[in-house]
Amino acid sequence: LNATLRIRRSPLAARHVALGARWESEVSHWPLAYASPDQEAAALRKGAGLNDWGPVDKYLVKGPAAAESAAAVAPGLASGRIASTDAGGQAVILLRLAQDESLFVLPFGGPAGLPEFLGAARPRMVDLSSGLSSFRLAGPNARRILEELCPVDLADAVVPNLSVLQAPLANIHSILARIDHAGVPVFALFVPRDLAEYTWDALLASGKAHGLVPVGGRALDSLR
Amino acid sequence: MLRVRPGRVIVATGAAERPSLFEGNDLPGVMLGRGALRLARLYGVRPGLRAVVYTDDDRGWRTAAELVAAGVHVAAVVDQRPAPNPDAGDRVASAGVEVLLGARVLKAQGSGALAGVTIETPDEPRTISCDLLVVANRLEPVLSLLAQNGLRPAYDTGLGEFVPGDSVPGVGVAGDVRGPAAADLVLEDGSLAGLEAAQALGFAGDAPAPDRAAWEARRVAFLAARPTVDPTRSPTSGKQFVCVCEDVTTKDIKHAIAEGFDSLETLKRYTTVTMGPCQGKMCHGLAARLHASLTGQTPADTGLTTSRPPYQPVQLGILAGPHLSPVRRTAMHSRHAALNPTWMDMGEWKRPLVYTSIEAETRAVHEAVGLIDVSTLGKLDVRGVDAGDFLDWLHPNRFSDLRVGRVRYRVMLDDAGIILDDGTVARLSDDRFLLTTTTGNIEAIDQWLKWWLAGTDRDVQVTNVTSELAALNLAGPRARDLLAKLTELDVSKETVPYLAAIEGTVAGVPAIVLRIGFVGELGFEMHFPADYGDFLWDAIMEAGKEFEVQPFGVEAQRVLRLEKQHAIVGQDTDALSQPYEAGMAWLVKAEKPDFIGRDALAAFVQEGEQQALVGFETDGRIVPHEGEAITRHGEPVGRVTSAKWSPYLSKTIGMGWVPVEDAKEGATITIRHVGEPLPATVRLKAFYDPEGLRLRS
Repeated sequence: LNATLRIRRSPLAARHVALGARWESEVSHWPLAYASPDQEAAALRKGAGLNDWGPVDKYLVKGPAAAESAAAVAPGLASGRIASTDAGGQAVILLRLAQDESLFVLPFGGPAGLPEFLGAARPRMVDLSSGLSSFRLAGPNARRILEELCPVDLADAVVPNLSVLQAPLANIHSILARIDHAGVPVFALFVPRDLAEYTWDALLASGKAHGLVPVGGRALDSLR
Repeated sequence: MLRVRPGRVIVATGAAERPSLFEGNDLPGVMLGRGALRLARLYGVRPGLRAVVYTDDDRGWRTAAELVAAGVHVAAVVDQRPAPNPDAGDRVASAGVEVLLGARVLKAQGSGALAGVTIETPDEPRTISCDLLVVANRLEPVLSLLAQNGLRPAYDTGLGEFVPGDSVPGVGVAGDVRGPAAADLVLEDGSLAGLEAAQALGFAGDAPAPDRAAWEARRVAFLAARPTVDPTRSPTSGKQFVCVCEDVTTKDIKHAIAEGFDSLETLKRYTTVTMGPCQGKMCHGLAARLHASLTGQTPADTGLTTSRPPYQPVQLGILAGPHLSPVRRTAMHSRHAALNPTWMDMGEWKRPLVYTSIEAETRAVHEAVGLIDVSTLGKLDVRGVDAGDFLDWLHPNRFSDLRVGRVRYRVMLDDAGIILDDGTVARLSDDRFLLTTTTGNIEAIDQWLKWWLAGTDRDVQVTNVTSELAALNLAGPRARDLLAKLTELDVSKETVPYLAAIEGTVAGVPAIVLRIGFVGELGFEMHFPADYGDFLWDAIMEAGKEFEVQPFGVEAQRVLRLEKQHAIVGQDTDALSQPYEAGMAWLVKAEKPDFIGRDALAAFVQEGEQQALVGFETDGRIVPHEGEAITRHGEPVGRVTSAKWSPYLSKTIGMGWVPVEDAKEGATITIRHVGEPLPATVRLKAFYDPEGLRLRS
């Protein structure tokens, strides 16, 4: 058997197929774009876009190792804050969920997975790359859409750029991370994989009135 | 859940406190009697330093005495009655409390908090400084549930209260809900109501007929000695709250009536009095009486507003918000959907119940190989230096001595020794364990572990990896051949015996493979990153063609496990099941130093077993319903917890709880099936492969 042929699929693969998605690659079934990346980007800038952000690797660290590993990537990062950095030649987004809980997001994965420099914390890292599905909700109406499904105040003053919180979203537990792209508000949402279709459907249904459309990774990249 | 269909119901909803009307009655420091005493008795908090008790009943005097006992200085008891019962004041008087009779509180004074009260007395007005004003009036019957059941409240003029009116067939009342009475009268009322119910249903035997008339006479005598006070009398015009939930004052009510809302029902809708979160618990009676007095009527004329469900408040979002019921789908959902199975909901999960037929699916597992998606199992990653010891503490058996590469069955008990959950623990390295839980229990067990971890310095981290790891169980005599085709791991019986745990790749996908068998055949349970769910399913189905692999659903799994008498926690056990009676005595390592539930288990051993969970089979194809009674001489002595027709064994099999003396191989028991007796035979060993040779093959 050829291991390189193994196919990693988004939990939303069936939804994307129905929307006519083009995949990132043969072995990675996440949407690069649907019909037209330009139209998607335009819709996103005007209202909002919902993107299935993957395959993104995620590692959770708890306990004392959470602080040690966070210090290795972004010294002094406070709880509830996000650091987006380049460490050991690899893009790393660190979500400091709590004093003793850090989530490392590696947007482009990597052949070796987790960077070596995390050192002693490595054995304590739990791979949640599949377990946490990640969406990006981007655009000027992103906050209004989220607020219909989330009881937490998401105003700029409360949840500024590069902050993270855990909150109910459509009656399920979620991690909400604000990571704006070039001044456009972007909320990265992390939900349990088996609830991905449910969350995707709930967001699209409630976002319809605010011009929300599904967008591929290309549309998001065009913001940079 | 128990569903009871009684022939008769006795409602004893009791009575609730009634606030008083006076200026400033919403100031912090003004409290009801039960609230103040709850602070003192339940929480050990002194509700205030210097108190005045305001009352229209002997309750106030008792409340004052209890406050004194709780260390509160009670400055005065203000009783609206000109002459209370002579014996009411003994304890209060001896505590040096001033008593003002025929007096009324006019105003609670203070800015932001209570500083004192102004009192009207028969002589001259008084002001007493205090930081606590306890309002302890006569209690008011709680009629809402009765009213919702069709019973109309009636106003008893002599009593000065709304009480249960005309009766509703099959519903009796007892206790304070009838109106105030002395404790001995209330107790007797309960006995009488019970007897009346028993008689109405023909259960009273030769007990003497209840003498309700004599009781009524004593009650009338009791009430005659207790004149009532109109709770709506209020001589001042300041702000007095009738309904604190909705901020409705006496002035609002007066204005509304002046504007023409002079019927009680329209008054309620206009002012929203009684419509707040407490559903009128505080203001229902008060508002009705106030309305009557302001419109020159009696409460008997106006009645009460209609009581409507819910009696307890419910968030509007639950009733009218968007329909957001989470749905969980496994990583292989689209593959199941393509096979068009019968689906079932298991909590939030969607699971295939049957793909083709139970017969074909169970046959495939027994004779070839079956594949089932078990991703819904709860999974916890438990790691850290102290992880083994921590698991020892949480379970009646041991895990610290489990070797790396081995799996062990786990049953978790609560403090009372009751079975909470079961599953397996696999040791993947010295300080890393994979723990599985039953499908519905994962959140509770995750919290349970974190609860026992909180505040300790144990080096243990617990992470819920239920969504991260998809899981497939490959079961049947050809399971090994199929797996061997997909992996470079050595999966021979010698290298991977029963209860082994190995890590490697299957079809290129990193996987943890556990050799366990819930369904009683040679089995491999694979846990792997869920993003590869579809891929691995496809790979197994493709490679398995030559072995006649067949997917099987939850229903086939339930039949197969029943053939082995493998209990399902939560189905075959309930909130009273302990491991000895459930046939899990072998699991308990009582010699362990300590673990949760240990003391309770010791008590169970002393008490001895009363009942036992056993297997049974019946002749013929009648399948008893789960939950049906097992009877002896027509009386229920146990119950059926599981029963299925096994097409492979060609008989009806089941499990159930029986008295311990019936837990003998071959004993005959009787099941009451749809009202008719159905004989069954107790079987203590698995119906299929009782020696477990196939499981271990």
